[in-house]
Amino acid sequence: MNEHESPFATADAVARNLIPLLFAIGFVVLGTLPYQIPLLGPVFPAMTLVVVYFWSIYRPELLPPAAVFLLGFFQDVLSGAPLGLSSFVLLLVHWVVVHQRRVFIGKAFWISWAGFGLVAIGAAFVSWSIASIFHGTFVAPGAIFTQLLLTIAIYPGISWVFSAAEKIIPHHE
Amino acid sequence: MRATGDRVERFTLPFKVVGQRVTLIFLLVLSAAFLIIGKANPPLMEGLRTSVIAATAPVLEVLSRPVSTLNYLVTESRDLFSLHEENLRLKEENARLLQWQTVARRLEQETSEFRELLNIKEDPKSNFNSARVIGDTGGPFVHTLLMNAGHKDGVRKGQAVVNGKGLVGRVVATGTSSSRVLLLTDLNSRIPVLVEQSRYRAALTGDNTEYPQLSFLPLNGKVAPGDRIITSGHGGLLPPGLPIGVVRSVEGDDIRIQPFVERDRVEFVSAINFDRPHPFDEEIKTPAVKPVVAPDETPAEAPAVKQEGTP
Repeated sequence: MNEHESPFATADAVARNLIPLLFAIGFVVLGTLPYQIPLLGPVFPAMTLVVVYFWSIYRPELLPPAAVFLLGFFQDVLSGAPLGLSSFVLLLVHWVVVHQRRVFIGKAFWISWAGFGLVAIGAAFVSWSIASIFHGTFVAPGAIFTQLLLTIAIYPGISWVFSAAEKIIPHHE
Repeated sequence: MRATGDRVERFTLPFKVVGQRVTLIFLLVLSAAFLIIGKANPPLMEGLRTSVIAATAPVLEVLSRPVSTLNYLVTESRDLFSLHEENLRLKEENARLLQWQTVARRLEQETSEFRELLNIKEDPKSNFNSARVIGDTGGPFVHTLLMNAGHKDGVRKGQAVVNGKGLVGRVVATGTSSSRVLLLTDLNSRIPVLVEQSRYRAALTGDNTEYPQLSFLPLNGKVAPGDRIITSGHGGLLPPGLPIGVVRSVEGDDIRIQPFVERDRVEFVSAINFDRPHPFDEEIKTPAVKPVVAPDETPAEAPAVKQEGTP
């Protein structure tokens, strides 16, 4: 990077670097709006999972652990879920994916989709277990299962948008 | 310049990696700590939550408007196709309701005469705050709504929340100008109820499924699909007589209720400010909290009660 950049170029670069975080926050807010679609409420896809998975593979430096934590926190606050639940699960996902990112980079799309499926299943199981322990009862797993399927189903669309966005973010290497 | 940068990077990289890992572990532990603190000391975490929601509520409020306009347009255009049938159905319903009105007038007259004869103590009066639903919080673990009225509007924790069809839930947390409503279907929802016809007492227990469960029915108590369930007012927190739903299925002990309120159709709600008759209020506190006695009104003036069609 050239250090004689104009302030505008710097601001532009900063704004582009914020894209993943803005996507993430936007998705949390969108997920909270009252859509009057029957039965959608409890099974609204876990968009933050897609956000954390995608950016942890392709540009982990843009979504550091602190950002992941804040994202999960924000989601729990709005949804009314036990505080710390989403942060914990998303951080775990971030950790696992950052360590395995070489498996996905430069590979066919279906490999990252399959990887997402596995991660989503793991995340659903962990969050269901934590919620069950937290409430001291067996939480009905039906909604979580439907949410899981929906989340896996929307992954291709969202990751396509992210791929397009990723191209306009400057590389630091 | 580039070479120096590389050398510096080669030197700092291991520290960066270790630093990132330490941060990650620290944050994981922090999340777990939040969970444990939230379980051990809920008010502490609720305070944190309320302040973040207060900051987000205006954004949600603005964004919820186009969403509701969109919903409106979709419903309107769908209704255009069924205007004729709808008209016929309404005419029929109107004829039936007119008969009910006659019955209701006569009964109202009789009841007020009986009340006068018996000199019965009236239920306390209640008023309500109406608000827009600005958030239907997604997620499989909690069933709550956010509404844009809060502490400064007179909404208090514990108040019943209704819409035109019946009980939606109750307020669990209030911010300055927004509150969270726990729906009947949530895992943590427990509502004292009555079976309307037989007057059996029971509890309505949410379990995160669509149809909450009717539990603690007396041993000899029997219900059948179609029986109406209303709030009992026991515990003094909710006004009595708010419609909740009908019995959907009875399978041994597993009795399921179909709520009147459809979660995805809730756009406006009212929180009922119910001056509850607390046995100790008058002894402990000043007369200011004495229940206000209404001269000649039904328990709650909420629209929900007005719409209750059957006598």
